[in-house]
Amino acid sequence: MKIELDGLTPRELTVRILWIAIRLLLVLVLIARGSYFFYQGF
Amino acid sequence: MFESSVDLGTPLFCAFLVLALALVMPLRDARLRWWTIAAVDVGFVAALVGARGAALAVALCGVVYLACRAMQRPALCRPAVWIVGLASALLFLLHKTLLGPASLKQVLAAIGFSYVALRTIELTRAVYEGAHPAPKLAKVIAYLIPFHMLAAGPIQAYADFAVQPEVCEKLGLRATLDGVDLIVHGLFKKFVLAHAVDAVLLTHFRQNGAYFLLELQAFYVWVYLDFSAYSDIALGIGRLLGIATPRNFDRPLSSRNLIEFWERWHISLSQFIRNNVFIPLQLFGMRKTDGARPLLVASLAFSVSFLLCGLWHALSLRFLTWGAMHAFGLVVCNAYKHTLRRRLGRAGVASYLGKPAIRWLATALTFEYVALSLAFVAYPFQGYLR
Repeated sequence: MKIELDGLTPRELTVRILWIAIRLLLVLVLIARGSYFFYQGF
Repeated sequence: MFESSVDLGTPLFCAFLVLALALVMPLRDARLRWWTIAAVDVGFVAALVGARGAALAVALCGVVYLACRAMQRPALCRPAVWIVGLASALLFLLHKTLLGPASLKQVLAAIGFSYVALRTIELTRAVYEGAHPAPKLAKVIAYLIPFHMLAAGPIQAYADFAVQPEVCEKLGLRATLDGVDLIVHGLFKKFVLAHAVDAVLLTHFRQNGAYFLLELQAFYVWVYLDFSAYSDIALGIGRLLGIATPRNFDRPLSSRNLIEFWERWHISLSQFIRNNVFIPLQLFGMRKTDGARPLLVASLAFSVSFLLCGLWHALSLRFLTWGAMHAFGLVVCNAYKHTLRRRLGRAGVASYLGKPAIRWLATALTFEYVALSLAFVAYPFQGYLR
């Protein structure tokens, strides 16, 4: 049986949520640091 | 490099976003929903620039609301009401922007005077022409000062705003993910990609020679990333709140000519210029010349439209020159298109433009021309252009 949530398979859903989370995490880290990481380093 | 007055990364904006989502999303009563949206918008302006700024914004909405209502009364002279209503709204804003105290200037900059002014024209014109009935006050507020579109537009066409459903359907998982994805995509573009280009490559054009040429390219990319990021975020918030929000960019860096560029860059502004300046001017010119000089008429319409577009960005010689560059580019592009069509015919033009070498050359030339025009705006000139 194929499981779908609003037309999304669990795999598609996981990939989309992960992709959102990765970008959001990066944004939040940069905003929280208040400076650019290429210069400051992590 | 350049900072918007409404910063999307601040806790204030994030707090209002969460507040708006929590308050508006569950509402199914149309009247309550629009008043809640209006309250959030006014609240955001108040939190941003203080009670005085919010009072100013509400006063403007009140003037526009009354003008729209008056235009629907058959006993009154509609053109006069339109002109008086529009002029008083715009003069009110312009007067306060140019002559008001410094604190008020900041207020007007923060509420995006230029965008509010264009939306005022859109709304009053739509009601004047009878295309739409006068909206309720809550909708006037929601249309003129939408908190998610104050930072950098888009300038929504009133027709798009008016036709949206009173109450949006409940969001499904896919639609919610699409909205969140757009917001995060915008944040990523602004705070990671645009920031990287800025920090690594941009020097405010302080370097000359070969580096100037490199910075020319980087600056255009940076402007695109930063500006389109705001639009993506606004689009995502609009999706989640169920408020129609137009798409403002469509891969403009790969445009093959300036006409195509303006169909892909700041789409809502180019649509506004086309509908409110270019087409009326073109129709006027065609009537005056009995349709005998279409190229000349189009060239004049392009010139006036983009000189005004330049001045709309800022009342400065710098932006007037930027507008003149785009007007010149569009006139040349249109004349070239006209000549090609006359010599090669429609099928010949399509085959010519389809050649990969021509396509690449056209894309590169358009990219460089736009980059040069943007550098002109940002270059640290001295003297008159400062």
